[in-house]
Amino acid sequence: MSDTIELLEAIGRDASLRHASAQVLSKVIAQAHATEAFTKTVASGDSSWLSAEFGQRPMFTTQISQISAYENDEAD
Amino acid sequence: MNNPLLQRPDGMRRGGLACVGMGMTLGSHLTPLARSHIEQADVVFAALSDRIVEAWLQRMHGDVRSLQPYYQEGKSRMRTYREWVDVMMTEVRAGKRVCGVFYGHPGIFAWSPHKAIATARSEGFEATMEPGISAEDCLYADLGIDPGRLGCQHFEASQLLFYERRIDSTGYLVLWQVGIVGDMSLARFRTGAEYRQVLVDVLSEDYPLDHEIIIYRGATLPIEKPRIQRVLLRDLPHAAMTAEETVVLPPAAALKPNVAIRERLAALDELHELDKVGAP
Repeated sequence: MSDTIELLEAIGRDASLRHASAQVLSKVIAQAHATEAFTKTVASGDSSWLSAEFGQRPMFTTQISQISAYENDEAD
Repeated sequence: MNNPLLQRPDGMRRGGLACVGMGMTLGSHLTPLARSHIEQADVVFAALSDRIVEAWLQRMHGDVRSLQPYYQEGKSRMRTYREWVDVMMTEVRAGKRVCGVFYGHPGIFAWSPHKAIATARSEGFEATMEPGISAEDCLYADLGIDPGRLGCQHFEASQLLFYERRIDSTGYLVLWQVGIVGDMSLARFRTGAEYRQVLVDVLSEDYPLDHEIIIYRGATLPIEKPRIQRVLLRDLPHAAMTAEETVVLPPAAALKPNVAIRERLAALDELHELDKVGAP
Protein backbone atom coordinates (compact mmCIF):
# COMPACT_ATOMS: atom_id res chain seq x y z
CA MET A 1 0.00 0.00 0.00
CA SER A 2 1.41 3.37 -1.00
CA ASP A 3 2.40 5.92 1.60
CA THR A 4 -0.25 8.65 1.88
CA ILE A 5 2.19 11.50 2.44
CA GLU A 6 4.32 10.46 -0.54
CA LEU A 7 1.24 10.23 -2.73
CA LEU A 8 0.04 13.67 -1.62
CA GLU A 9 3.46 15.18 -2.28
CA ALA A 10 3.62 13.55 -5.71
CA ILE A 11 0.18 14.89 -6.61
CA GLY A 12 0.99 18.34 -5.22
CA ARG A 13 4.04 18.84 -7.41
CA ASP A 14 2.65 17.29 -10.60
CA ALA A 15 0.97 19.79 -12.93
CA SER A 16 -1.02 17.01 -14.58
CA LEU A 17 -2.46 15.81 -11.27
CA ARG A 18 -2.76 18.91 -9.06
CA HIS A 19 -6.04 20.03 -10.62
CA ALA A 20 -7.14 16.66 -12.01
CA SER A 21 -10.75 15.61 -11.63
CA ALA A 22 -11.81 13.23 -8.88
CA GLN A 23 -12.32 10.59 -11.58
CA VAL A 24 -8.74 10.85 -12.85
CA LEU A 25 -7.29 11.02 -9.34
CA SER A 26 -9.27 7.98 -8.28
CA LYS A 27 -7.67 5.94 -11.08
CA VAL A 28 -4.19 7.23 -10.26
CA ILE A 29 -4.42 6.47 -6.56
CA ALA A 30 -6.00 3.09 -7.21
CA GLN A 31 -2.95 2.17 -9.30
CA ALA A 32 -0.77 3.40 -6.44
CA HIS A 33 -2.69 1.24 -3.95
CA ALA A 34 -3.73 4.18 -1.78
CA THR A 35 -5.29 3.65 1.64
CA GLU A 36 -9.03 3.36 2.04
CA ALA A 37 -9.15 6.77 3.77
CA PHE A 38 -7.30 8.39 0.88
CA THR A 39 -9.59 6.73 -1.66
CA LYS A 40 -12.70 7.89 0.21
CA THR A 41 -11.31 11.44 0.47
CA VAL A 42 -10.72 11.69 -3.27
CA ALA A 43 -14.09 10.18 -4.10
CA SER A 44 -16.07 12.39 -1.72
CA GLY A 45 -13.99 15.58 -1.60
CA ASP A 46 -14.23 15.31 2.18
CA SER A 47 -10.76 15.47 3.74
CA SER A 48 -12.05 14.40 7.16
CA TRP A 49 -11.41 10.78 6.06
CA LEU A 50 -7.70 11.58 5.79
CA SER A 51 -7.77 13.57 9.01
CA ALA A 52 -8.95 10.41 10.76
CA GLU A 53 -5.97 8.51 9.31
CA PHE A 54 -3.59 11.05 10.89
CA GLY A 55 -5.40 11.53 14.17
CA GLN A 56 -8.25 14.04 14.34
CA ARG A 57 -6.74 16.62 16.64
CA PRO A 58 -7.71 20.21 15.82
CA MET A 59 -5.06 22.62 14.58
CA PHE A 60 -5.27 26.27 15.52
CA THR A 61 -4.34 28.72 12.81
CA THR A 62 -4.54 32.22 14.27
CA GLN A 63 -1.04 33.66 14.58
CA ILE A 64 -1.74 37.33 15.20
CA SER A 65 -4.00 39.28 17.54
CA GLN A 66 -5.42 42.75 17.19
CA ILE A 67 -5.92 44.47 20.51
CA SER A 68 -3.28 46.78 19.13
CA ALA A 69 -0.76 46.49 16.35
CA TYR A 70 1.51 48.50 18.67
CA GLU A 71 0.76 46.93 22.06
CA ASN A 72 1.65 43.54 20.61
CA ASP A 73 5.26 44.67 20.51
CA GLU A 74 5.48 45.49 24.21
CA ALA A 75 7.30 43.13 26.55
CA ASP A 76 5.40 41.33 29.31
CA MET B 1 20.62 18.12 -2.48
CA ASN B 2 23.01 20.71 -1.01
CA ASN B 3 25.99 21.49 -3.26
CA PRO B 4 29.23 20.42 -1.48
CA LEU B 5 31.08 23.24 -3.25
CA LEU B 6 28.88 25.74 -1.45
CA GLN B 7 28.98 24.36 2.09
CA ARG B 8 30.05 26.71 4.86
CA PRO B 9 33.03 25.55 6.89
CA ASP B 10 31.97 24.23 10.32
CA GLY B 11 34.07 26.87 12.03
CA MET B 12 31.51 29.49 11.02
CA ARG B 13 28.58 27.74 12.72
CA ARG B 14 26.82 29.56 15.54
CA GLY B 15 23.25 30.11 16.67
CA GLY B 16 20.95 31.48 14.03
CA LEU B 17 17.33 31.65 13.02
CA ALA B 18 15.52 31.25 9.73
CA CYS B 19 11.75 31.66 9.51
CA VAL B 20 10.28 30.09 6.40
CA GLY B 21 6.87 29.28 5.00
CA MET B 22 5.57 25.89 3.88
CA GLY B 23 3.20 27.62 1.50
CA MET B 24 -0.44 26.68 1.60
CA THR B 25 -0.75 23.39 -0.33
CA LEU B 26 1.20 20.26 0.57
CA GLY B 27 3.67 19.35 -2.15
CA SER B 28 2.95 22.40 -4.30
CA HIS B 29 4.36 25.48 -2.61
CA LEU B 30 7.47 24.66 -0.56
CA THR B 31 10.35 26.57 -2.12
CA PRO B 32 13.77 24.96 -2.61
CA LEU B 33 15.32 27.53 -0.30
CA ALA B 34 12.78 26.93 2.47
CA ARG B 35 13.39 23.18 2.23
CA SER B 36 17.13 23.80 2.43
CA HIS B 37 16.70 25.87 5.61
CA ILE B 38 14.65 23.04 7.11
CA GLU B 39 17.16 20.36 6.17
CA GLN B 40 20.17 22.36 7.39
CA ALA B 41 18.66 23.33 10.74
CA ASP B 42 19.67 21.71 14.01
CA VAL B 43 16.09 21.99 15.25
CA VAL B 44 12.80 22.88 13.57
CA PHE B 45 9.77 24.49 15.18
CA ALA B 46 6.45 24.24 13.34
CA ALA B 47 3.25 26.27 13.43
CA LEU B 48 1.22 24.75 10.62
CA SER B 49 -2.44 24.63 9.70
CA ASP B 50 -2.89 20.95 8.96
CA ARG B 51 -1.90 17.78 10.82
CA ILE B 52 -0.99 16.06 7.56
CA VAL B 53 1.30 18.91 6.49
CA GLU B 54 2.97 18.64 9.89
CA ALA B 55 3.52 14.93 9.24
CA TRP B 56 5.06 15.81 5.86
CA LEU B 57 7.45 18.26 7.54
CA GLN B 58 8.45 15.64 10.10
CA ARG B 59 9.84 13.55 7.23
CA MET B 60 12.22 16.34 6.26
CA HIS B 61 13.95 16.60 9.64
CA GLY B 62 14.52 14.40 12.66
CA ASP B 63 13.74 17.05 15.29
CA VAL B 64 10.51 18.87 14.47
CA ARG B 65 8.78 20.40 17.49
CA SER B 66 5.18 21.42 17.03
CA LEU B 67 4.15 24.81 18.44
CA GLN B 68 0.48 23.76 18.47
CA PRO B 69 0.53 22.49 22.11
CA TYR B 70 1.13 26.04 23.32
CA TYR B 71 -2.38 27.08 22.24
CA GLN B 72 -5.03 26.65 24.88
CA GLU B 73 -8.66 27.69 25.05
CA GLY B 74 -8.94 30.43 27.67
CA LYS B 75 -5.25 31.36 27.40
CA SER B 76 -4.29 34.64 25.77
CA ARG B 77 -2.95 33.99 22.30
CA MET B 78 -0.39 36.78 22.85
CA ARG B 79 1.06 34.67 25.64
CA THR B 80 1.23 31.74 23.22
CA TYR B 81 2.97 33.82 20.56
CA ARG B 82 5.53 35.10 23.09
CA GLU B 83 6.16 31.52 24.23
CA TRP B 84 6.89 30.58 20.63
CA VAL B 85 9.52 33.32 20.46
CA ASP B 86 11.01 32.16 23.77
CA VAL B 87 11.34 28.50 22.78
CA MET B 88 12.96 29.39 19.46
CA MET B 89 15.34 31.89 21.05
CA THR B 90 16.34 29.40 23.76
CA GLU B 91 17.75 27.14 21.05
CA VAL B 92 19.33 30.03 19.13
CA ARG B 93 21.14 31.17 22.29
CA ALA B 94 22.30 27.58 22.81
CA GLY B 95 24.17 27.91 19.52
CA LYS B 96 21.74 25.98 17.36
CA ARG B 97 20.63 26.76 13.83
CA VAL B 98 16.89 27.10 14.31
CA CYS B 99 14.29 26.98 11.58
CA GLY B 100 10.79 28.24 12.37
CA VAL B 101 8.30 26.86 9.84
CA PHE B 102 4.93 28.55 9.42
CA TYR B 103 2.07 27.89 7.05
CA GLY B 104 1.83 30.13 4.03
CA HIS B 105 4.23 33.06 4.32
CA PRO B 106 5.96 33.35 7.72
CA GLY B 107 5.61 37.11 7.86
CA ILE B 108 1.97 37.63 6.93
CA PHE B 109 -0.56 37.64 9.77
CA ALA B 110 2.06 36.07 12.00
CA TRP B 111 3.49 37.95 14.99
CA SER B 112 6.06 35.50 16.35
CA PRO B 113 8.37 35.16 13.31
CA HIS B 114 8.92 38.92 13.04
CA LYS B 115 9.45 39.22 16.80
CA ALA B 116 11.82 36.24 16.93
CA ILE B 117 13.90 37.62 14.07
CA ALA B 118 14.07 41.10 15.61
CA THR B 119 15.08 39.59 18.96
CA ALA B 120 17.73 37.33 17.41
CA ARG B 121 19.26 40.20 15.44
CA SER B 122 19.26 42.49 18.48
CA GLU B 123 21.33 39.85 20.28
CA GLY B 124 23.82 39.60 17.42
CA PHE B 125 22.58 36.39 15.82
CA GLU B 126 22.03 35.90 12.12
CA ALA B 127 18.33 35.79 11.39
CA THR B 128 16.42 35.74 8.15
CA MET B 129 12.90 35.41 6.86
CA GLU B 130 12.20 33.73 3.52
CA PRO B 131 8.93 34.57 1.77
CA GLY B 132 6.43 31.79 1.19
CA ILE B 133 3.30 31.41 -0.89
CA SER B 134 0.60 32.89 1.29
CA ALA B 135 -3.15 32.41 1.58
CA GLU B 136 -3.43 35.83 -0.04
CA ASP B 137 -1.51 34.61 -3.09
CA CYS B 138 -3.81 31.60 -3.40
CA LEU B 139 -6.85 33.84 -3.00
CA TYR B 140 -5.85 35.99 -5.99
CA ALA B 141 -5.29 32.90 -8.13
CA ASP B 142 -8.43 31.04 -7.07
CA LEU B 143 -10.80 34.02 -7.24
CA GLY B 144 -9.31 35.63 -10.36
CA ILE B 145 -8.52 38.91 -8.61
CA ASP B 146 -5.65 41.19 -9.62
CA PRO B 147 -4.99 43.52 -6.69
CA GLY B 148 -3.30 45.94 -9.08
CA ARG B 149 -6.44 46.60 -11.08
CA LEU B 150 -8.59 48.40 -8.51
CA GLY B 151 -6.46 48.18 -5.38
CA CYS B 152 -6.91 45.87 -2.44
CA GLN B 153 -7.07 46.57 1.28
CA HIS B 154 -6.34 43.83 3.79
CA PHE B 155 -7.31 43.94 7.45
CA GLU B 156 -7.46 41.51 10.28
CA ALA B 157 -11.22 41.63 10.84
CA SER B 158 -11.08 42.60 14.52
CA GLN B 159 -8.94 45.61 13.77
CA LEU B 160 -11.85 47.05 11.78
CA LEU B 161 -13.96 46.85 14.94
CA PHE B 162 -11.37 48.00 17.48
CA TYR B 163 -10.19 51.00 15.48
CA GLU B 164 -11.69 53.54 13.12
CA ARG B 165 -10.17 52.48 9.83
CA ARG B 166 -10.96 54.01 6.45
CA ILE B 167 -12.37 51.65 3.88
CA ASP B 168 -12.19 52.39 0.16
CA SER B 169 -15.14 50.53 -1.34
CA THR B 170 -14.00 51.22 -4.90
CA GLY B 171 -11.35 48.53 -4.47
CA TYR B 172 -11.29 45.04 -2.98
CA LEU B 173 -11.47 44.55 0.77
CA VAL B 174 -10.12 41.33 2.28
CA LEU B 175 -10.86 40.50 5.90
CA TRP B 176 -8.83 37.85 7.71
CA GLN B 177 -9.61 35.84 10.83
CA VAL B 178 -13.32 36.63 10.61
CA GLY B 179 -14.01 33.47 12.59
CA ILE B 180 -12.70 35.17 15.75
CA VAL B 181 -13.85 38.69 14.94
CA GLY B 182 -14.36 40.92 17.95
CA ASP B 183 -12.54 38.76 20.47
CA MET B 184 -10.97 41.23 22.91
CA SER B 185 -9.96 38.49 25.34
CA LEU B 186 -7.51 36.93 22.81
CA ALA B 187 -8.46 33.67 24.50
CA ARG B 188 -11.14 32.29 22.22
CA PHE B 189 -10.83 30.38 18.97
CA ARG B 190 -14.20 31.36 17.63
CA THR B 191 -16.78 34.04 18.15
CA GLY B 192 -20.39 33.68 17.10
CA ALA B 193 -23.05 35.23 14.90
CA GLU B 194 -23.58 38.22 17.22
CA TYR B 195 -19.94 39.30 16.77
CA ARG B 196 -20.15 38.90 12.99
CA GLN B 197 -23.30 41.04 13.10
CA VAL B 198 -21.21 43.83 14.64
CA LEU B 199 -18.80 43.46 11.72
CA VAL B 200 -21.70 43.61 9.23
CA ASP B 201 -23.00 46.75 10.94
CA VAL B 202 -19.59 48.42 10.57
CA LEU B 203 -19.27 47.33 6.92
CA SER B 204 -22.81 48.51 6.14
CA GLU B 205 -21.55 52.08 6.46
CA ASP B 206 -19.69 51.53 3.18
CA TYR B 207 -21.50 48.60 1.55
CA PRO B 208 -25.16 47.84 0.87
CA LEU B 209 -26.47 44.86 2.83
CA ASP B 210 -27.31 43.04 -0.40
CA HIS B 211 -23.71 43.35 -1.60
CA GLU B 212 -22.43 39.92 -2.69
CA ILE B 213 -19.35 38.88 -0.74
CA ILE B 214 -17.11 35.83 -0.94
CA ILE B 215 -16.15 33.47 1.88
CA TYR B 216 -12.95 31.73 0.81
CA ARG B 217 -10.63 29.00 2.00
CA GLY B 218 -7.68 27.79 -0.05
CA ALA B 219 -6.68 24.15 -0.41
CA THR B 220 -4.12 22.79 2.04
CA LEU B 221 -4.07 19.31 0.49
CA PRO B 222 -3.46 18.92 -3.26
CA ILE B 223 -6.55 16.72 -3.59
CA GLU B 224 -8.78 19.53 -2.30
CA LYS B 225 -10.46 22.29 -4.21
CA PRO B 226 -10.66 25.81 -2.73
CA ARG B 227 -13.86 26.45 -0.79
CA ILE B 228 -15.72 29.41 -2.27
CA GLN B 229 -19.11 30.58 -1.01
CA ARG B 230 -20.94 33.63 -2.29
CA VAL B 231 -23.40 35.17 0.14
CA LEU B 232 -25.01 38.52 0.72
CA LEU B 233 -23.35 40.78 3.29
CA ARG B 234 -26.47 40.68 5.48
CA ASP B 235 -26.22 36.88 5.65
CA LEU B 236 -22.61 36.77 6.86
CA PRO B 237 -23.49 36.32 10.57
CA HIS B 238 -25.24 33.02 9.91
CA ALA B 239 -23.12 31.70 7.06
CA ALA B 240 -21.26 28.46 7.71
CA MET B 241 -17.65 29.39 8.26
CA THR B 242 -14.53 28.11 9.94
CA ALA B 243 -11.55 29.84 11.52
CA GLU B 244 -9.52 29.29 8.33
CA GLU B 245 -11.89 31.22 6.10
CA THR B 246 -11.41 34.69 4.69
CA VAL B 247 -14.03 37.19 3.59
CA VAL B 248 -13.63 39.17 0.37
CA LEU B 249 -15.76 42.21 -0.46
CA PRO B 250 -15.57 43.09 -4.15
CA PRO B 251 -15.83 46.77 -5.07
CA ALA B 252 -19.19 48.37 -4.35
CA ALA B 253 -18.64 51.61 -6.27
CA ALA B 254 -16.86 52.81 -9.38
CA LEU B 255 -13.61 54.75 -9.23
CA LYS B 256 -14.23 58.50 -9.14
CA PRO B 257 -11.84 60.53 -11.32
CA ASN B 258 -9.82 63.16 -9.46
CA VAL B 259 -10.55 66.12 -11.75
CA ALA B 260 -8.33 68.67 -10.00
CA ILE B 261 -5.26 66.44 -10.02
CA ARG B 262 -5.84 65.38 -13.63
CA GLU B 263 -5.93 69.06 -14.61
CA ARG B 264 -2.69 69.63 -12.74
CA LEU B 265 -1.05 66.69 -14.55
CA ALA B 266 -2.34 67.94 -17.90
CA ALA B 267 -0.71 71.30 -17.20
CA LEU B 268 2.58 69.53 -16.48
CA ASP B 269 2.25 67.55 -19.73
CA GLU B 270 1.77 70.81 -21.62
CA LEU B 271 4.91 72.29 -20.03
CA HIS B 272 6.93 69.24 -21.04
CA GLU B 273 5.62 69.49 -24.59
CA LEU B 274 6.74 73.13 -24.65
CA ASP B 275 10.19 72.02 -23.33
CA LYS B 276 10.50 69.57 -26.24
CA VAL B 277 9.59 72.22 -28.78
CA GLY B 278 12.10 74.64 -27.27
CA ALA B 279 14.97 72.09 -27.15
CA PRO B 280 17.85 72.63 -29.58
